[in-house]
Amino acid sequence: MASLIDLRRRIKSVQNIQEITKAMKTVATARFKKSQRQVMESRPFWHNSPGLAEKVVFWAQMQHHPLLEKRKENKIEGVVISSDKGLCGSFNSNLLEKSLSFFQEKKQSSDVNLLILGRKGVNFYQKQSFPLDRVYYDRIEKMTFQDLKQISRYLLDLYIQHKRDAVYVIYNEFKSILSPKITVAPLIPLNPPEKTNQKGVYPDWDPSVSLFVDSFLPQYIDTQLYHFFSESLAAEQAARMMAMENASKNAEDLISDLTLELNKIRQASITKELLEIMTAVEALGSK
Amino acid sequence: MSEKLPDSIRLKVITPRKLLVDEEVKEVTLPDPDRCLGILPGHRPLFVALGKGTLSYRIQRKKEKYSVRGGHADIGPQKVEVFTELAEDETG
Repeated sequence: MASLIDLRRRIKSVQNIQEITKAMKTVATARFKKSQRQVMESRPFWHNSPGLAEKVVFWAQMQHHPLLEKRKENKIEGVVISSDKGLCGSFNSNLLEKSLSFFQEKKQSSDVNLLILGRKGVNFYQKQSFPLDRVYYDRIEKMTFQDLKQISRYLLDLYIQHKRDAVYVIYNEFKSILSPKITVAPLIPLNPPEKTNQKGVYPDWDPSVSLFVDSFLPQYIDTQLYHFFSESLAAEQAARMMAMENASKNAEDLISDLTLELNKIRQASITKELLEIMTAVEALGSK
Repeated sequence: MSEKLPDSIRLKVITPRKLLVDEEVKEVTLPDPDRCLGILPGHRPLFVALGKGTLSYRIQRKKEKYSVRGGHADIGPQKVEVFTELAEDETG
């Protein structure tokens, strides 16, 4: 049986851990609110831009634009958006596991190269057999739209020069606080929108149809990548918030269990002492 | 055309960061790569690739300006939707 001193020490250390997890939860909550606001504010863009893309493709009669055409997937590029820091529950482990099985399946039929964002992803994939094209880690949460644009233009170049036939992005989509959803999204080529019938008269184009489409589609891809990235950031903070909350709760439970045990032992020792005194008194009295 | 022309346009300026403007306006001026493009209510459908410059619009007498860098606009008789990559608030 553990001694009283041992138990007191354990309770003290669990309390210290709880302090830390509580503090981390507060930090994660603040960050989560910020990134949630960003995701919310950028929602209008994501709701409206696919509509515009659909319209543009319909009116431009550009179903055979290179960025819309599906090729045979001989070489593919996988983009994994993970996080730099841990302590966010199963956020990274689930993502990496799922992405690994996805790439292994793709490997059967095509060459897979990877581009990884986030230290956790980099550490994981360095031990795997896939060639890494580019890796980005350290302070990825500070990456701006311009930084991501560089990445998407790099991917676009690979695609246009026929070095890759498709680009897939795997990331945690921010659905709700409780459940991030791991999503595999094809980035390039764009999914040609279903044949919709747009009403109205044929629109004008400025400067011209082909110039408009050539500048519109790459930009659409840039913004998509940025969108995936900001979803992943929000999901990461939410996951960390939940993980820290659970940790605080577990510490609480552990403390109450340990306190109960401590009290039991204390009581037992008091009872034992009392018994000893009583026996002594009895022995003295009976003389 | 005997249809009555609408007297205002719904202007939306949307950036990847946020919805910048969502208002009924009388007139919009968009920066074209090499000129300025004025849009009044009842414009025929048009897709424009924007250049660097100033996007401005008028509500009654009030005029607002934003500087934008590229982007695309979808113009219809009663609406203008501007998707721009980077817009900084000139007044703020």
